[in-house]
Amino acid sequence: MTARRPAPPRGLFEDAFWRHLGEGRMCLQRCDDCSSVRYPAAPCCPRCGSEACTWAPVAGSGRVVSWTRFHRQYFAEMPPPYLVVSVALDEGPMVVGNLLGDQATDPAIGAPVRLRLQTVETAAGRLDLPQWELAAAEDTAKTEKR
Amino acid sequence: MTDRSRLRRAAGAVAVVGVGETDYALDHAALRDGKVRSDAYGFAATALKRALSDAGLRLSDIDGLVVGQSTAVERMAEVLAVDPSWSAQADAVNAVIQAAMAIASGLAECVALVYGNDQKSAGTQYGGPNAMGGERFLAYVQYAPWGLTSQGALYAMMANRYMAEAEFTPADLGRIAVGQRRFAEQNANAIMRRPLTLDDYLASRFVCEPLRLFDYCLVNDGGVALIVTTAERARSNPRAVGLAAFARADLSVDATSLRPRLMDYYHDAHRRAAADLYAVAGFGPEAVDSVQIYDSFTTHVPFALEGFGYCGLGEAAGLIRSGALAPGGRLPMNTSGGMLSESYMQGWNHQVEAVRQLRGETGDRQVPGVRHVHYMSDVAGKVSSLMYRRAGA
Repeated sequence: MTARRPAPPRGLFEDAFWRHLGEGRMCLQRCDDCSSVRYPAAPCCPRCGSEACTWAPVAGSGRVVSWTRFHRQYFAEMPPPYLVVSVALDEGPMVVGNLLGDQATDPAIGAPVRLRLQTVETAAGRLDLPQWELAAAEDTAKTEKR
Repeated sequence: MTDRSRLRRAAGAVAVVGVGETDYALDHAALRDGKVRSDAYGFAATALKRALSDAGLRLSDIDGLVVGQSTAVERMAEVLAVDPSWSAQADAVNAVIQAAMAIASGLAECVALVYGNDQKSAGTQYGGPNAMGGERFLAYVQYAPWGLTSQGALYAMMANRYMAEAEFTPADLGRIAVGQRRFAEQNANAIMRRPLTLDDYLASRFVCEPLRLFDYCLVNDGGVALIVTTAERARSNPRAVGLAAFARADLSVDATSLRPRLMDYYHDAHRRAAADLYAVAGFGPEAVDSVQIYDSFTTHVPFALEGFGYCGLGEAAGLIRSGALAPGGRLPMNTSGGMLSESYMQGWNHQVEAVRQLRGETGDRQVPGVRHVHYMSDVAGKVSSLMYRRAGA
């Protein structure tokens, strides 16, 4: 059964973010003028102000900035405990997701993680959520070589 | 660029001459018995009556109005029956700053600052499907699909990263809660007065790990009011409390992605505000006798103390373990019990406590010989700070 999740706030630019995920890719806006990559979606570049951008796929790897484990239930769809992580993407921006897998072990700050899309149902329809899992040792070596 | 000579003039132009609060503990007990004493506007009206009486003023003396963010400006003015020459909406610390700005610019001469909140009886949600504040702070609602909406969870993530970087433990968070509870035991108007031990703290349930129940502020109904007027009008009033300085600094770039929160604990804004505040005041932490820190969560405390230079970066645990912040310490903090133990008035009750400390009216919890009280707030990276000074200090 597909998991149920709360729906995200939507808007012109956020819609594009979720549309790309629905096509199986996590894309972020890359500025056509200064190449900086931004999250969350926005009408212009926070570095140079340019409105010209291209939705570019991310590599899907990053590192844990921090985490919390929910013990209180805030949403009917989400019984605790569950882990939420902040992830610094290799491309620079920071995003939030759930850490999949073992929910009882504290993730290490700086631990390498790898993207995995998870299909969920929301009150506003189906979504493909960008989620994270701890990267295996060989993945880490690959990331560091690149 | 801030202009410190003009900031100095604006701070010196005003004084707080009246304060008022509702009966937090009594109203909370009544609510537990099923009796709702009033609504947000009614609590504000009660607090304003008390502040006017405290100041020896009448409603007709009020020509400026600043209203807290939990109520509408027009409706508040309507309920209070006041048509001021100037009105505005602001959180606690910015209410004082805006009143000073209005007085310094000549828009008003006697400003009422009023706050009322019926968050407990009205069931305000801080997190979840109807999380409050999302219209002002996108990060409070952006991550709903991952189950992250509560402000406490954002502070929990700050705490986990900080504890991995600094020598700071969950027990240090507990010491903050325990110290403030000891002050609350000496405050008849505080809601939580039952003694709290470090063992009680460590045995309490997690909400968002590593934060436990006692890391979170209360949720209760109440109201607060302050009267701010010109320094000239306050000159002959020995109970007037002056402002040595006020300062602000924002961090909003990258705020939704949590970068300034998690990577720097808002220190960039703390440092900018502290530099202005201490330069304008003409003194720094060495001359501060008591601190009031916005404490919706215990985690605010180490970040504010480090950011404002009360200790080095990563060294807040030493200050906390020394007992400096607790009753009898050299830097008593949140002496009313704060929002963890007295009342969650979103920073407004800290202003009242600062004023009463500087008047010497706080009884058993009075800080001896207090001349300067420093208030610090860093909600969502918008850092605001006030340096209150005793009349004549």
